[in-house]
Amino acid sequence: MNNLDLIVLFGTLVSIVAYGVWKTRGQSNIQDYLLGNNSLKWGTIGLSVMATQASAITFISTPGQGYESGMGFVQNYFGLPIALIIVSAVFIPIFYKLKVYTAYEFLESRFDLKTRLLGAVLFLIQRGLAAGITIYAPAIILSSILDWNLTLTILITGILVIIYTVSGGTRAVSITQKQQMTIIMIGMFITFGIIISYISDFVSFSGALTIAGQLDKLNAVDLSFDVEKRYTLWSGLTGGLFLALSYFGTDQSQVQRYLGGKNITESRMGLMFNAVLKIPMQFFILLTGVMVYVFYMFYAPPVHFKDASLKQLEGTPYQVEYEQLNEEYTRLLDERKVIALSYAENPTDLGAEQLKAVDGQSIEVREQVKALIKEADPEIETKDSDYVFLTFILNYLPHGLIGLLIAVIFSAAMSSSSSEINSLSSTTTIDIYKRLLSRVDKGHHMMISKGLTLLWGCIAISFAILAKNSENLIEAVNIVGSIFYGTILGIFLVAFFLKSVQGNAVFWAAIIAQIAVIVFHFLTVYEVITLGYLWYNAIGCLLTIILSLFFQLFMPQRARA
Amino acid sequence: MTQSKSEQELDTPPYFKSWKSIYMIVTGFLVLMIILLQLFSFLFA
Repeated sequence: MNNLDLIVLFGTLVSIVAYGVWKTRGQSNIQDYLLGNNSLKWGTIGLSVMATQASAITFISTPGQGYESGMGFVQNYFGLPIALIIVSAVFIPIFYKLKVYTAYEFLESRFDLKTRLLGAVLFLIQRGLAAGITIYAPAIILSSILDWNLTLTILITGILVIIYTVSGGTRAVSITQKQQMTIIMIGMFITFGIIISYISDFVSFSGALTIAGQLDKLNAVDLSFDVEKRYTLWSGLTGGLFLALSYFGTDQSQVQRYLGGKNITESRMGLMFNAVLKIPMQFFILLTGVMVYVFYMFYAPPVHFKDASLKQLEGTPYQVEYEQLNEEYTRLLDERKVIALSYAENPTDLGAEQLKAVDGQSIEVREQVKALIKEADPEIETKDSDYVFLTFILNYLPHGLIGLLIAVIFSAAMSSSSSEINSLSSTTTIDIYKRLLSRVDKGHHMMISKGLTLLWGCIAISFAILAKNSENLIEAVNIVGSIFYGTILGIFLVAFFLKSVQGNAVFWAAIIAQIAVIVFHFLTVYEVITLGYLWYNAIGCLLTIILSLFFQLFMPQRARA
Repeated sequence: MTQSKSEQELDTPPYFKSWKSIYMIVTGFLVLMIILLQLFSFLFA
């Protein structure tokens, strides 16, 4: 990165922050601050919902996923449009009717106070941990690849987010997300165009797709019923629906985005905007990763994309073996390039087989290098797909554009974490402080909410800084999220669809379901059973629903007020 | 959980008579996307 990149990077970020602060100055009450005075239109809501979901990792990892495994990941989003239809048809009318600030307020009107507090506390634990990781995860990659100080990178991201989120609340989050999504999409489209222009020096776009197809990178839909496969049409439609429903319907970081709408129509349209655009957007980001793979057919890629890991081999007994592998890799890349060019010109079955064979051999050498790194340092993370797209950006984009693309990554990190901090503050203010300590707003609720936004921002930054001592923390936080998500969704599904179930039944069902999920987790940790942590979501949800129905059979029905 | 008449009037989607039509279109779009992606996979496999 040179000075031009730094000017573009910081110019973009500071402009967005200044715009957010300036546009939302003079807010005077809690409704302005937490619901944006219900003034947001569907376009802003739609982009805000999209920006909240698309964190920095989306723009770092997803192209890497396309590079490594092809387009199959897009199936993960097949359940999302259906989930958004359910949220729009069932959840939104109820939230609007009750004029709630947070999703958990609804639980008190449907059940009782203790169930509302349970939902709010489960959310605060889960999202509070995730907010730190949203800042930490891109910072660790950016600091490693740009050779920046990790703590400083975390502080820059966190402080910029705190400035406009504290100052302007929900409206500042939403309008900055609009700017951030615009920067993100412009940056991604330009990058895609540049990749294609590089490739077109060798083959046409259609030729590039043919090569990618032969290497199994374009298998976007898998119709098989194999449960061991991670991404299939069926797992996307069922698992994806389940995850999206819990995320969009019960997670305050999303609920707050659409509750800020001018009216119910604007909120619903904002969700439908996402229902239509999310799959094409993920397809495009994955295709960018696939095109980076084709690009590296003609421009030699490094044998391993994480430089810091390769440096571990320097001066060790493994260095000689690494150099031999690297030589072998270079030879295979030359061979692959010749075959790819010939195949693009004249696609034959023999050419396809040769291309697949030599590509497979090059992947094999990459795996051997990873194994070597692991042998040299068993603690090190050898997965390098997160570094693929950034390596391409830094080595092949013109200066100025590099700054813009790094701004894209920072913007995505900021847009997600601002939503998280904003929703954590809302939930603490409305569901804990206002409900338990001070029901009458003497004009101080907004100041309390601002103070809590600052506090949650500082907690997120502290957690991100502490996280640098643990390589496996990201996975740990994903596990913590899965432990709580299922129970929260279960409570909401009972609330919406099982009218006969009342507060005590669902509360105790949720407590037992939560304990059961924690027990399952420890049984897995101590290897008594083998259970992927994504299953915790389904177990928590189903147990909450089944136990609620069971307990209700033995509990007297209370007449509703 | 039913909306009052005035709320229903306010809550009409743009260009369409009801939300049901919008949901049908979004579902149709999802099916179309899956078919197109399947064709895309098939075409270049």
